[in-house]
Amino acid sequence: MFIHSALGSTEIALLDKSTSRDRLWNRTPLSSLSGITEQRAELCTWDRLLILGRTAELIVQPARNSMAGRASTELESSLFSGAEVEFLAEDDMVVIVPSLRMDTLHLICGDFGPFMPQVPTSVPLWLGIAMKKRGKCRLRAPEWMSVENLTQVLELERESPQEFQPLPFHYVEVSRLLLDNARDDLIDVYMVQTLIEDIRNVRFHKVQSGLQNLSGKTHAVKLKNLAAMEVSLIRPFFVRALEKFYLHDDEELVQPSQTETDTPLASVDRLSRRVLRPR
Amino acid sequence: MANNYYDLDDILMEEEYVSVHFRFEAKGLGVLDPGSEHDDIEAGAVVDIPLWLAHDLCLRKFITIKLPYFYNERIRKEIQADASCVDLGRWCPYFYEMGLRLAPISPDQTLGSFLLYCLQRRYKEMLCKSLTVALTTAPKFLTLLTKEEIQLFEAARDSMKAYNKWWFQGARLERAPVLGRKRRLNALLSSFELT
Repeated sequence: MFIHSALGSTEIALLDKSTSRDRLWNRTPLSSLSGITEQRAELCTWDRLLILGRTAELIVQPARNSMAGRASTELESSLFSGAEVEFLAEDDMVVIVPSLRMDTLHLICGDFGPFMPQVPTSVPLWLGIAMKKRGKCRLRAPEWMSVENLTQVLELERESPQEFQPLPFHYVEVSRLLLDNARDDLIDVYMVQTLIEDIRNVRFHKVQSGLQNLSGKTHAVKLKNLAAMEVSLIRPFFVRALEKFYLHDDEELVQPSQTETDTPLASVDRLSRRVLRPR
Repeated sequence: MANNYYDLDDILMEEEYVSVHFRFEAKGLGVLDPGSEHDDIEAGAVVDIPLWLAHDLCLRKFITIKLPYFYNERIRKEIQADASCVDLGRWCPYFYEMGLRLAPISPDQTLGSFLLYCLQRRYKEMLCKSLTVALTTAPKFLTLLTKEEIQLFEAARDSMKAYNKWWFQGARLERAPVLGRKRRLNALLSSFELT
């Protein structure tokens, strides 16, 4: 951690944050993955984790490392708590309209600026929020957060029970942060809030009903366009359940001549889900 | 066979008794059978012994295993009727693990597929309940679950709880535990200095 003396106390906090963020990313090198998958025992688990999550970095974190030296007994089971997922979401870029003149900021994660009054520029969300809190800028809502777009997404989500609509990976957290910190910069705040809540509920219900069709033969589940918060919500339960199924679905244990079969509806559903299409 | 030598649940599971059928006379093993009057076990005797012993003896073909009552036909029918209402926790908290251990050595070939079927059925019900259950009270059906299922259920409930905590949280500033400790240490020291 270093402190740039030329900048004021505000920027010390910002730099501080960016260093700890970079450390978090560096702590999970992708190269460690190949070493782990060589061990047969862990192979299935890692495979499944990788398919379940979209970013490898988010998943390939062997032990839980609490970020601020926070005691983490109660949330032992989930790899990332809500606050940590939110932390990762703060790296998303957002467009701000500054109201001050400032030189380029040289941060570890990149250079941002220079900032001119009323000239839109794009910065990470954490930087935008920090400036917004000090009244140095206005945040501009991302394009997907418009009422028209969200209404359309909600309709499509309701129409297709098997698919998820493409939304930003961190849409839950980003919208939450924007609604909390920049309410006065958004248009139709209440409408947007309600729509996002509805979308979240519909999608989560879909995840739940999709996971019910799991069976012993499932070795991976393809969930396209799943958001970070949804992944972290179902991961502890789902990974465990898949491990159990894997244990029980041994070739030696289960004879091919099964008398008990699942209900036809569920098995049809299951088959359509198991197809792994290339992206 | 053992997955993890130090796994407590694994040890406890192996302590469960199974009844076995001795194929040969066993000299000096009368201690195993509390009802026996001699030092020896006769050929054909039926004795209850722990699973860890039964497993090894069975591999050496000294005994044949009789499945415990909770894998019998009646229970299977019950599970086929409505799997999620069956009280597996009362019969055996290690229902699945024990079944997995017994399946390769028992004469019953259908045990493995029965366990898988049972897990599938109960899993669906649990998924629904664990994510929607009230977060404060201990639900009633928790008593119906086996040890393994309780762990699964708690994993789901905890992640839901963590999510709700994040969603409804008030203050966004968290105090690092280090700070509190340091201050208390100072307070202790200063009071010491005063006296």
